[in-house]
Amino acid sequence: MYETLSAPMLVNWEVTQFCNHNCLHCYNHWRTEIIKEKYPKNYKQIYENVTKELIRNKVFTVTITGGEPLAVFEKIIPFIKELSDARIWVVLNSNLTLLTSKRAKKLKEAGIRSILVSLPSADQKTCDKITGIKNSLRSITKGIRIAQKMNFPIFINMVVSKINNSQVKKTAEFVSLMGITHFSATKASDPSSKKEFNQYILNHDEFRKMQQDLEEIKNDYDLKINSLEANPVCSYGNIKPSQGYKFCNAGKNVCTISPEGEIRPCNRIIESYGNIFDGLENSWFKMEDWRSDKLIPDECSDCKIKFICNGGCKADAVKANGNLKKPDPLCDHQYILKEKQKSQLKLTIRKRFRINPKIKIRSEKFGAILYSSLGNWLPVNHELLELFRKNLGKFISIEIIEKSLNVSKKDALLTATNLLQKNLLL
Amino acid sequence: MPGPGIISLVKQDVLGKSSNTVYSRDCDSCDNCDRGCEACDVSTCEGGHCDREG
Repeated sequence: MYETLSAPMLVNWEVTQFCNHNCLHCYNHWRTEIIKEKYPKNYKQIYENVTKELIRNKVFTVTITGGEPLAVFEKIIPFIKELSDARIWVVLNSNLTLLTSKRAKKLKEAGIRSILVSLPSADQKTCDKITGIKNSLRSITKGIRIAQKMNFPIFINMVVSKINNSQVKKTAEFVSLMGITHFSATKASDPSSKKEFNQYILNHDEFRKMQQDLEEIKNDYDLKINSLEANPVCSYGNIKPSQGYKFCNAGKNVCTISPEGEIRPCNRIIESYGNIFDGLENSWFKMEDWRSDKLIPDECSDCKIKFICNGGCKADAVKANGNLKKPDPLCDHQYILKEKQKSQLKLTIRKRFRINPKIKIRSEKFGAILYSSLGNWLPVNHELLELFRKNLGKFISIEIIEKSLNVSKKDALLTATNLLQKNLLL
Repeated sequence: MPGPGIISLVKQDVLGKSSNTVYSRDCDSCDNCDRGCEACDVSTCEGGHCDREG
């Protein structure tokens, strides 16, 4: 059971269905046919409402995605600026092929914080095969160069299938040579819109080989590695991924809004829970099942972390088994976790800390969420919230934490260590 | 383990049944991730496009 938050922490906003690429692995459910319309006729009304709702509900992070968001560049840019001006952390998912220097400057001015770029392969033929577009590697690379000149943090994501799984290291090397520091290899999922892609989905061994490649890439190229899907913990077998595990937060602290304003738990789930014109919270509170334990597969009953893992990706479960309560096809229950392991967290030795003056605070029934940046946030109780509110921007000692929370010095150091890791304390 | 004052959004007790949010608890089941309890609440899939630090 997951706490019901007042609103999502992060919203993926699909600003257009249109894309100038036609990737074989694309998970957009509408891509059963070529989309010609770039935006709905009443786009302005929809964009205005989405923006208003995201600000009103104090959403912390918005991912501008699609389709290809740059296809509606002129239409969306004022709304990105409005979100940024409201101190929302706005990031962009794009293939960057439609980026120009002028547009990059405008994106920067509008407040885009970072860009996640899909790069299928460093091999030109493979890249073209996957995107369905000639010279796509060259045009993606050109866009990356422009974004780099504008000093955007660039995150590369390679979606991996049987088509390109032998090229993960080669692609990482290419990325490293471009001066990029973050590289993700993410297994392709079976798209709901394309039946024929099923033959290219990685099996367990290939998935684990991809993870092993990532570990080697981390050491050989000094890249920060990642993998972006919520893969079940048992899917890794005996491998312990150094990037950590990811768990599905659809309907828990994340949701997606479509170009028409339909609100869904995640990008890959087709079912809408309502429209933005009825308010974001109206749909958000209807996603109760996603926060409950109802969707934990029976097959996972002996697993020690079933309440967190939930049996992996629900969209993959639906696609493979037609049911949200079924396990992700990557689940490998022979590796189910039956014993807990102890954390290796090293406590801070510092005694004084400054409360980050730039954090955002959103009240919740249990206290609040303290947010410093994307991925750096923590839910806290009323006592810790009070300490933060009273001392925002000020220095505090470990003794003050002890006294405020009425805990031992060791426990106070534990709290301080976690707050430091999330940049909530400086 | 998150430490006092920091809470887990995943509601469970040591027997594995759902219950109210446990404050200041030693993360009983997700220590396996080696990143502490908070990582489980923070790391997201975001439907295939996601989790970055910038």
